[in-house]
Amino acid sequence: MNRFFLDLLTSSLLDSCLVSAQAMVLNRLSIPFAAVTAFSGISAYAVALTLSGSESTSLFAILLTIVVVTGLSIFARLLPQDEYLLATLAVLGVLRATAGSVEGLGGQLGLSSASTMFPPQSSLLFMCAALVLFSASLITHLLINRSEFGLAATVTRISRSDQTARALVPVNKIVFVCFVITALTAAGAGVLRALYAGRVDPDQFRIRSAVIVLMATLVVGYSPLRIALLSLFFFAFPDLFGYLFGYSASSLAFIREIVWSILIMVLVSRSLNLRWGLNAVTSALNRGFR
Amino acid sequence: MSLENVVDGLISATYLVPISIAFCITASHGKYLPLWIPSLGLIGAYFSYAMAELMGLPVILALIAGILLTATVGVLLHLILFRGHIERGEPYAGLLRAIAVTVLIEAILGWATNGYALSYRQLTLGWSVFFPSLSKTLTGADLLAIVTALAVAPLLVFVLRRTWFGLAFRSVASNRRLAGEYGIPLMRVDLGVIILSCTLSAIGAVMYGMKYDLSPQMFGEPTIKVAAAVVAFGAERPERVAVCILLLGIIEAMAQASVSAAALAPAVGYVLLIVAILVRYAFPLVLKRARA
Repeated sequence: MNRFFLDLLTSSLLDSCLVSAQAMVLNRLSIPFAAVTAFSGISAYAVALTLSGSESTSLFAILLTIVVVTGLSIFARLLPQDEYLLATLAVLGVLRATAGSVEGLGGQLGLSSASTMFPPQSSLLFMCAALVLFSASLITHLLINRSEFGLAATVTRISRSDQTARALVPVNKIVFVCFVITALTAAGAGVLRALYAGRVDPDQFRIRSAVIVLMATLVVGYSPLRIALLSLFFFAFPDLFGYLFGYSASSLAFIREIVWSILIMVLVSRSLNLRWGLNAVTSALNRGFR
Repeated sequence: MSLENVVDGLISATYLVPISIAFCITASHGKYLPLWIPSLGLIGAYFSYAMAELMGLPVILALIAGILLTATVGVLLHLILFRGHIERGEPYAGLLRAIAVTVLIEAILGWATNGYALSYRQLTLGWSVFFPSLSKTLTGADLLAIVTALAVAPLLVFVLRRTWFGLAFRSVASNRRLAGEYGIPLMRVDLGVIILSCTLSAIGAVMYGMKYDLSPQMFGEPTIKVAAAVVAFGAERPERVAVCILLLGIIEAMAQASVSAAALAPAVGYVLLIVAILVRYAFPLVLKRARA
């Protein structure tokens, strides 16, 4: 298969994994979480340090992730939504500055994460791995949608505006579990990306990248079908369209952001929320596929 | 800590004073974090560039055109996107739309310029002044930023505390519904606030472009810094926010002067934001629950 398509599919699948992970918290629980790249970045650095001989960093990365997950899930219920969103972006800024200043983490240049067992840029291998991870995250969404946990998560989302709903479900535990699922999925994507690229650097924690993932997540909801179609389209569009029709991929990326931001502006309103309109579309699609 | 570092930090921070005041005014009026205001200034800066550098318009006219365009776009965006959220008290929805507007403006400007930075040639103040006591040469842009910061903040304090508009603004900011019931023209106050914010933002963006060149994402980090100062000190106190911005500039300059801490300089604003959010919102709630 053409190498370009394999590379494109691999990177799109890995980015879509981040969207799927973030949707678990942002869309399912209405918690304005925007720092999913923090988990992928921490795991990427952990892989790089482990490959360079520092095995104890894996334990440190796990502990750091647990601390971050615990902190995020606690503060999600304490802070107003807008302040929480800003705080998550600020956490990314701190992580980026820290990664760029610590010599042991390679500073601004980063670290090599090339593995001899899984050579970097092995397109087919990593495409398959990314596909498995993305499929697993979609199946997780599907299972949650059809389970009691999914119902409890819906009640948790409602409890944000309706205090009486809080007594019906263990809100804190559900929030924590969703964050754990998010962290695991994002960490998996981070590990694969680090091995695939062969290098990690502080740009893993770029706020701009997190904002792009946030924008993609805001539209996809938590239906597996919608996550799969919209997120893959979102990330594959610039390079795919540029390859097929000869347009500059960077210009198409700008056009994609223009269209997507207008879409979000239109959908974020009182009368037409993000999920209401798209739910109708995907319900129709689901009926058509059956 | 050397005097040179302090001066460097102060000078770089003065460029953000007009934008931070614009941010404060809009945040205080709308009760949400208007992350779109600094990016809006970019429209004026790029339009001024186009008018002066490409169309050959006189500098003053190019600047006025940029400010007018920024104000027009700002008013339209406010009426279409943010007015409803302000009236209904929806800060989170306002913030999401603000992020979307920021990405939209950056994407449009990036697409128009292919992402390249632009340098002012006509819109520069070519002269400079050497200060022997500081061992520093200040460019025309530096002096303009200092004069603007020294003029804008006291002028704004005067307008907000001694004029009818300031009284109307404070009334609407504290209780919009009640202010409307008492006959304060809400639409006029809204438009006045947006036009004032957009003007300050455009001026700030042009000055920032004179110093650091124009690029679509040049206000990415500075916006977070301004937001941090606003969250820490409150949008109702623009003079304190301006001082905080200056202090942040000094701290960052001192960090950058140190070899070991240079890469941590950008984190200062982020840390302030996290600490301010926790202190203002999370800890009081935790204490309240602990006492209960």
